[in-house]
Amino acid sequence: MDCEKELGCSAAELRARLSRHLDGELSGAEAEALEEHLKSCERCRAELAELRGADRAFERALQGPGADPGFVARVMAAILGRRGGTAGGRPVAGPVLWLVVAIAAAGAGTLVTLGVQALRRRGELETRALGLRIGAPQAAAPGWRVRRPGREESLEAAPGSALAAGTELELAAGGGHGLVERGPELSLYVEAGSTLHVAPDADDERGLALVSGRVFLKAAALERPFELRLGEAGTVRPGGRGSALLVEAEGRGFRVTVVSGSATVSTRLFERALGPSDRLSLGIAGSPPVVARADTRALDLRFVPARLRPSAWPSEGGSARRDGCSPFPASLPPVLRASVGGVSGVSAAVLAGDDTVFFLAGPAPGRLVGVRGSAVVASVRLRSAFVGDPAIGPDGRVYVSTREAGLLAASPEDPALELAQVVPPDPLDPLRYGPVFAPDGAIVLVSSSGVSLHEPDGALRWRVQGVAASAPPAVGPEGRVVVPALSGRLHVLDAASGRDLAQGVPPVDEAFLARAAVAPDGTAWAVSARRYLVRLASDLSSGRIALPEADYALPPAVGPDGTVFVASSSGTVLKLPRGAAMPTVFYEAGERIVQGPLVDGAGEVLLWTASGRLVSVEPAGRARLHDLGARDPAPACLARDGALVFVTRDGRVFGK
Amino acid sequence: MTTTHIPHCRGRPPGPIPPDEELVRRVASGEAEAFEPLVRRYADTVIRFARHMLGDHQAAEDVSQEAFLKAYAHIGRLEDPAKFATWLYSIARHSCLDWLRARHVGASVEGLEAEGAELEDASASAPEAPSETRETHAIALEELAKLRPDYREIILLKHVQGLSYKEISQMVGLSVSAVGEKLCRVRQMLRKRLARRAKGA
Repeated sequence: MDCEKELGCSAAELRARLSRHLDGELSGAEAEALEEHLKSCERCRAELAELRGADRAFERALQGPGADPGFVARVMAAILGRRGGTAGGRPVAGPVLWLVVAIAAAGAGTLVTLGVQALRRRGELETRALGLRIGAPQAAAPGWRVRRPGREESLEAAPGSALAAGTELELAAGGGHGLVERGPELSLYVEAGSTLHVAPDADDERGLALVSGRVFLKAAALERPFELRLGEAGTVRPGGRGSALLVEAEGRGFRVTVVSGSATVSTRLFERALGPSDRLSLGIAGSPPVVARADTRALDLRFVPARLRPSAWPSEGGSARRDGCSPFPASLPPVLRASVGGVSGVSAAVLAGDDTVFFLAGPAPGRLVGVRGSAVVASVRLRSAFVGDPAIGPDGRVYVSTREAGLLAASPEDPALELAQVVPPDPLDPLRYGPVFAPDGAIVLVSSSGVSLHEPDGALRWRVQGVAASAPPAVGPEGRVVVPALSGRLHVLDAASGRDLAQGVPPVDEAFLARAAVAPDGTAWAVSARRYLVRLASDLSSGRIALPEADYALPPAVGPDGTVFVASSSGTVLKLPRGAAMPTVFYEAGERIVQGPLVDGAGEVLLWTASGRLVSVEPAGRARLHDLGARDPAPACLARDGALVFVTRDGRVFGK
Repeated sequence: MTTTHIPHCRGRPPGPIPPDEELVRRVASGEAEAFEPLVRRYADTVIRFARHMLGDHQAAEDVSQEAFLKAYAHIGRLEDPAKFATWLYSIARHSCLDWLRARHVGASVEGLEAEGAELEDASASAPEAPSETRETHAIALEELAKLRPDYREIILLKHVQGLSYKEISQMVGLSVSAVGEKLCRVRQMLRKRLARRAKGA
């Protein structure tokens, strides 16, 4: 070929040079020669473009969730704990003190916990298109209408619509609120009856004017403090994650109120009227480069005073209406039963027949801990590291998967809580998750290379190799084992034979990261990493629903009436009523959701958030928030009678 | 129970986070708390790397935690504090390899030659045609999953950790040209696969 001749190399070497060129790894002379060649050679240019496409595909595929919010705290607790232990004479208070500091700091959303994430966020801010969009509708919210520039009539606007410059946006009067979003980070809650105007800027940084009504600002996924700046007039800094700003017109000026939960933190009246060129910008506080970046990319609210209604300021039913924007009424927190010290990393908690709560706690190899009432009644050291969550078997025993000792079980009645081996270990193929029980008492185990089903006495019924599970299995009413895989397949294994019944079902084009949920009618629901809610009925008919793009690493939940709830890590809970074609937004947490959803016997949806709150949301959408005073719960468990038991990573045991 | 705080009253005063070198020196001289910004800075990258190496989210988190603890324990051995990142990545890499070895996760040698017709058939019969980019994304993920661990590792070191050929070669013990060749082979494989799909469509 001419190319090879021109460059004096083989075809293989030419390919290698193109690849190195992409990585900037060619020497100066080589790069020059290749660039010169590329100018005249269409074939090589095309190949280079394709290689670049391949690179981009790899890069996109390799994105995905990073560390969970508790990761840094766990590493540091281990380090400071270790140092305390080895320094000799150093009080053990070290790690405890540190955790307290970490929690306080995270609660306040200060820079301590968030430096790097801000830089990452900044990277996203730089690269992501930041257009404004209408958010998914709140269940009870009235509809949006949009009036394009120069038009008289307004049109209904669908969720997800981008807002064009110059558009007037109106949320019909009624109850509730709507959302205008800019990426996943910023949400503007707009009260029903408000009108907004999208500034006719030509660039991407469109401002949004509040014409009438009031809005509520929240930096949802931004795990940093944010601030509101008004040129010379001053700056308002609300609290950390979960806090919000209420901006309302008042007299000739406007009032900014900082709200956290249901409490007003501060309120400030800016008395001077705003000129049309005044800009109120929501920025992100922090180190200088972040501020500068955030400032230029901020969501701008431009007030147009001439069009403000003087009486737009509702004095009646303020708190109730505020609740509509931010449903944060206080109520009784769940019961803290006990606090177990010295743990790092915990499993889910399970409730045994005698009301003892059992859970597994690190550091490795770990312990099996039992709590009854508010007393720690058992703490048995394991001889091999535990894997996943424990389970209560049909025989009432506590079952534990371990790395080197296989599946173990202990009877809660045994005073020594001695763990006996039920299934021996396979040193070449260790267990990856805790055991799961089928309705007939059979035990489902997942190992690195496959799935096996064992009789209650441990005897093998079947083993299926080559199923790379990416989350613990779920078992349906007929004993079918549903295993999600990174490949985007849902394996459905027959209870009797282990045959994969879902072999003919096409996979989705992304991985499953979370356990599937199986409804009482046998329908399995699973959510893939970024986009799809997949339904697999018991007759193996399947379907999928495209969700708003987000990180879905939490398992879906099915309510008693068949409603499916899906939570994105970034804080939105979607609900799909039985038989519905499309999900609607059920709840916006305003911060990262770290565990849940879980539906209790009353149909309340339970969620755990990054700031250490337990949120219970009634079917109608009203939420109650409980500060747990602790962060990072392990997956929670609803025991036999719908009683909620869970344990946090710092060893606090909540529930029955 | 948590209370409401006004920011900037608690915690560390805002300001730029010191560079790696400075933090490493402070940790080495006994200031354990200075390790926190380092964990924060690299946690996402290390966990992503581990997840793609191991194909297991929980294990990735365990292995990453272990890697940070090892790095902390041996930070005195790091000769050039400016090279903390690559040093940490190599610890993370070894932790992943140990995990894989302990679990005997075999290599899929045929991965490089695989044709991938299966996914194309499946997506043709899928209920809704995924968009161009989603499909591309899926193909890339599948190719990654099929790769032999030694190839996958190089792709991850390049695309997740952003290392140069030289840094990769030092880490995996290959020559710079061998790293280049491996990257080239993998890219070509994905390129051909994507091109075939584009033609098919």
